[in-house]
Amino acid sequence: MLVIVRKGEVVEQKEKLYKMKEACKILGLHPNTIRLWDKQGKIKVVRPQGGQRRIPESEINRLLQGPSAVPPPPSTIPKDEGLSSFLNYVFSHHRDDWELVRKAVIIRDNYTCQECGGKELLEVHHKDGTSRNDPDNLVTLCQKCYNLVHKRARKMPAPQPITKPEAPAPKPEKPTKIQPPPVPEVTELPRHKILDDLKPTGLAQRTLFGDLLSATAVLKSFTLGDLATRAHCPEDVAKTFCERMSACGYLVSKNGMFEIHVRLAR
Amino acid sequence: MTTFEKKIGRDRLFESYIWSWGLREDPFKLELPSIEAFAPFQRRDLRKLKRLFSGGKVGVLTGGLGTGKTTVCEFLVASLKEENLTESDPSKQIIPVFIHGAAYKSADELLRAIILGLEMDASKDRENLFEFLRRWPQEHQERLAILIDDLPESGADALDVGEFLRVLADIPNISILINGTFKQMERFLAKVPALADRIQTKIKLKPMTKKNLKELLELRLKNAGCVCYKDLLTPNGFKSLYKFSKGVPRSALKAASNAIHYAAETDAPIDARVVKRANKRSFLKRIFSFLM
Repeated sequence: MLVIVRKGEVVEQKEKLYKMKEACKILGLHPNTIRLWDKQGKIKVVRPQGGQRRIPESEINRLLQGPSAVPPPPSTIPKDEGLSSFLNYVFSHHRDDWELVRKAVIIRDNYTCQECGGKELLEVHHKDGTSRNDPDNLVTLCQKCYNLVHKRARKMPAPQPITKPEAPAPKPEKPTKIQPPPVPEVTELPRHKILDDLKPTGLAQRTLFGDLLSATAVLKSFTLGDLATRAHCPEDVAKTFCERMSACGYLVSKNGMFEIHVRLAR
Repeated sequence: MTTFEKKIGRDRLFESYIWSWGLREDPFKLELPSIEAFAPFQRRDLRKLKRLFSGGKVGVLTGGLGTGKTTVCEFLVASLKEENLTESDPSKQIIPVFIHGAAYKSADELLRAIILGLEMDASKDRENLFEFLRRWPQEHQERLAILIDDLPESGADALDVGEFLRVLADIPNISILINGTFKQMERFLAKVPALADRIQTKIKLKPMTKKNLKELLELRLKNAGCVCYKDLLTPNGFKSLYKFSKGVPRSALKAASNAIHYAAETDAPIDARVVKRANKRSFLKRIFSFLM
């Protein structure tokens, strides 16, 4: 606190303002972090004449107090009685909306890292390594634990349950490049082979499946409606086609979307 | 403003104009958007063609440029496929195979195209493939309809292709429909008298009458979702379109498409002035129109 004394009387009491560089040094943060927190409203910053950011002493003290210095945005927290219904609603209707699911999981875990109990820089992690947005597959982790889990997952071939973060392992003598996960090979087959596998009931259905196969090859990723519109055929025929293609492994279904998993040979 | 920006602005203008009339895209596109958008202006001829396919015969479809030969074939293929969906008895099903004749340069390629149209393996040798078609009535209950578009424009030897089609025509349950412009078809058939003798149905498409053209344009507008199509296409606008196209469907659709784009720029319905302005021809073209 800066105290201005004029003629032996306390005229004004002004709070000390820190420059960005000084604040960063005290808090041990990067200037960009402070700018981000300012944008997100996590920290109060004043801008005197000149427009540069100055951080008040009280804010620095608040941040230094403990890990819970940055409070969660109050508007997004549902009331306790409504929490379960809110989570139910999100996971049943908006499972594909990652931003909403992420927010819901963080709220469910009470803005706390489930590993170390930290409350800053929170991320949501998929336990099994897939992008399946199920409540039991998602967990809130802080950035540090998240990175640690991901590093471990890259080293290990199979996904492992999350364990407490340990001391970093000694560095290997020769750094090896991290190999990306192997991409399953897409087989290339002639049209007539694929249509033989689909076992059409007659020639009419065979030619119809041929039209649908052409539409599939063009669309690559589609819904039933898209396919039926593209091939100018009823949706129930498109459904039969997709079911048989999926049974043969030529189509992969994901959240109502189909993806072709075979290449047509010329 | 660059030309590109101008064009983008014009596209947006067009989009908002057609949306205001309840349309989603240009209703006068040359391609047949759906089976419902086809105006069957020669109903009797279509009935004849249907009979041809169920009887396993050879037919010829001729007509001038832009009279709708290819569109008729496309409509037939789509309607046969639709009928097959509801018909459970295979002996009543007709499997259509539509081939663009101009793209093939020999009878061998044409044979492979037919086999590929049936979604079968076409990599076998010619004898095997032909054997598949020869034994069609014994092995399949369905009828086969082969529609070959612009056959006289094919680069193949007329005699070679003609003989191949003649042999196919003799196989029961297989019907063939070939199309092309009148003069070219006459010349082609003159070279293959054996095939010409087997032709049972000859249809010549003529330009549309005023009534038919009106039916076509209104059907296109209705099919695209326009409710008040009579306000969009005014009677004098229609008259102007008919005069301009002389009843040829392709010319009429092209002129109507130009007119709707021009109407979007001026934010007015399609009247005679819009049609004229949108399809204005140069002085020389107008003078020597009889030469073109």
